[in-house]
Amino acid sequence: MGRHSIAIGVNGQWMKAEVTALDTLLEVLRNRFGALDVKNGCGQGDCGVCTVLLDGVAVNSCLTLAVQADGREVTTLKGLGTPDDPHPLQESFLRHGAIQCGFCTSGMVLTAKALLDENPTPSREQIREGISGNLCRCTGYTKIVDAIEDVAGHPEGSGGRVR
Amino acid sequence: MTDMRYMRPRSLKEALEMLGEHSPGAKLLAGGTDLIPLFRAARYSSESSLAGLGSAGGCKCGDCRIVPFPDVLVDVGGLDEIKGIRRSDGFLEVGAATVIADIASDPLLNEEVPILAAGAGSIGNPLIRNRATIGGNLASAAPCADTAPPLLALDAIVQLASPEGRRQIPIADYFLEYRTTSIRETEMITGLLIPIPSERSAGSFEKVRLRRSGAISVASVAVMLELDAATCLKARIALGSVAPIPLRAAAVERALEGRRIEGEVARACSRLVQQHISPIDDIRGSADYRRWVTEAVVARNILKSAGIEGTD
Repeated sequence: MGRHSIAIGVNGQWMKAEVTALDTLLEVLRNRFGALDVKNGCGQGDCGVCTVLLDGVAVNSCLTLAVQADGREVTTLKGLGTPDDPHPLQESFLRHGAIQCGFCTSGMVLTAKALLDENPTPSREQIREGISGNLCRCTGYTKIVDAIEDVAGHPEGSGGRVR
Repeated sequence: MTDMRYMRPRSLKEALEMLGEHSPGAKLLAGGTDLIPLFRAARYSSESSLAGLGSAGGCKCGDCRIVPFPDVLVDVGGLDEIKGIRRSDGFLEVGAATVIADIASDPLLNEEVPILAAGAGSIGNPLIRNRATIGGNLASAAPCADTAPPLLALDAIVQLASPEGRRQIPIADYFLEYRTTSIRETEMITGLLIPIPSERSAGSFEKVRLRRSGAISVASVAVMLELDAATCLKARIALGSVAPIPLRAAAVERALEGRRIEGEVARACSRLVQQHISPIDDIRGSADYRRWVTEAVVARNILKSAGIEGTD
């Protein structure tokens, strides 16, 4: 088996691993680096639960080989915020009850982060389009779109509070 | 399993050297959105029911798309030399490794060749479009490749390079048969040249699909017309998902040329699309439905391109 030594910046911390050319970024993040906040769903780019930011761009980590991420920076949900210091999107998801089973949440929040980075004031329709690669099988889309819309235009999270 | 090795060339020249050295065991990788799920499928099948098919792994039925692993993966996705969109001498040049999201949102393409931006924007979902490349969309050569009908309708030229040199072929000569193209073993797509349509040209793209995102087309249609008032001087009608390859409907094009476009002409000419297509039944639609919808969508998009809307 061909082995490759790689280093990936995960939420700012450089992690090293020996991988094969077939190992996906998803597998290495979860099984080698312990990043269990990245979820494993369909494995073929349909569901979006494995979304991470690769150099700031939202991608399916199941459709990215770990070797392709060598030398690059990955952000997972935990890289956005912590329970003590949550990202405005995380706060907004909580406030709006935009979480049912929670399995899509990690990918959904990261996709929303990339969406707002590119377009800080998306319309509701642009938000729907933007998250169309992230499936919520609980079908709680209304609250998810509400949560993203609430942060939109208020990237620092200072405004748009429900309460 | 596999000894597959991953290589990341730093230049096009280096990529071509790798391709030359390792062919036929080399395979190009860019976005990986098509290739990586195939590896996964081959890996799981070789670990279970298909074990014993040999070290190459993969299914040999020739039908289920499970591919053997190459010896070497040459990752050309990061090569700046084959990325980007620029205007040059009456052409638009699109690098093969340009990601689909950039094609869909590019102002120049949206201005000059909106049907290509629309085709690109209809691919997969935003996450897929962030990784998938236009070169990959053509190289994987699926009948449903959504950039293919627009590129066929635009008379695009495929730019190829190999260790032996470079050549260009019209995209009409590119797709040969199901998932087979005229790319030679040590060749790779480096880009596309798209003639900038004249002021008198207008086009339209429509993808028939079962949902708005993450959908593979049931049928797709791209139309480009060159018009003098309402008279059609030149027509290009291209189709996806209704034959083993994306293809042009030359009979429809010939029938339209010289005619004044109106509802009955568009409908009559569109009937000729039937002689070009050979759709199959699958999970997305029946062959009969595809025959019916293709004809209707061709007619609708001829009228739309001619600026006649709401008449059909």
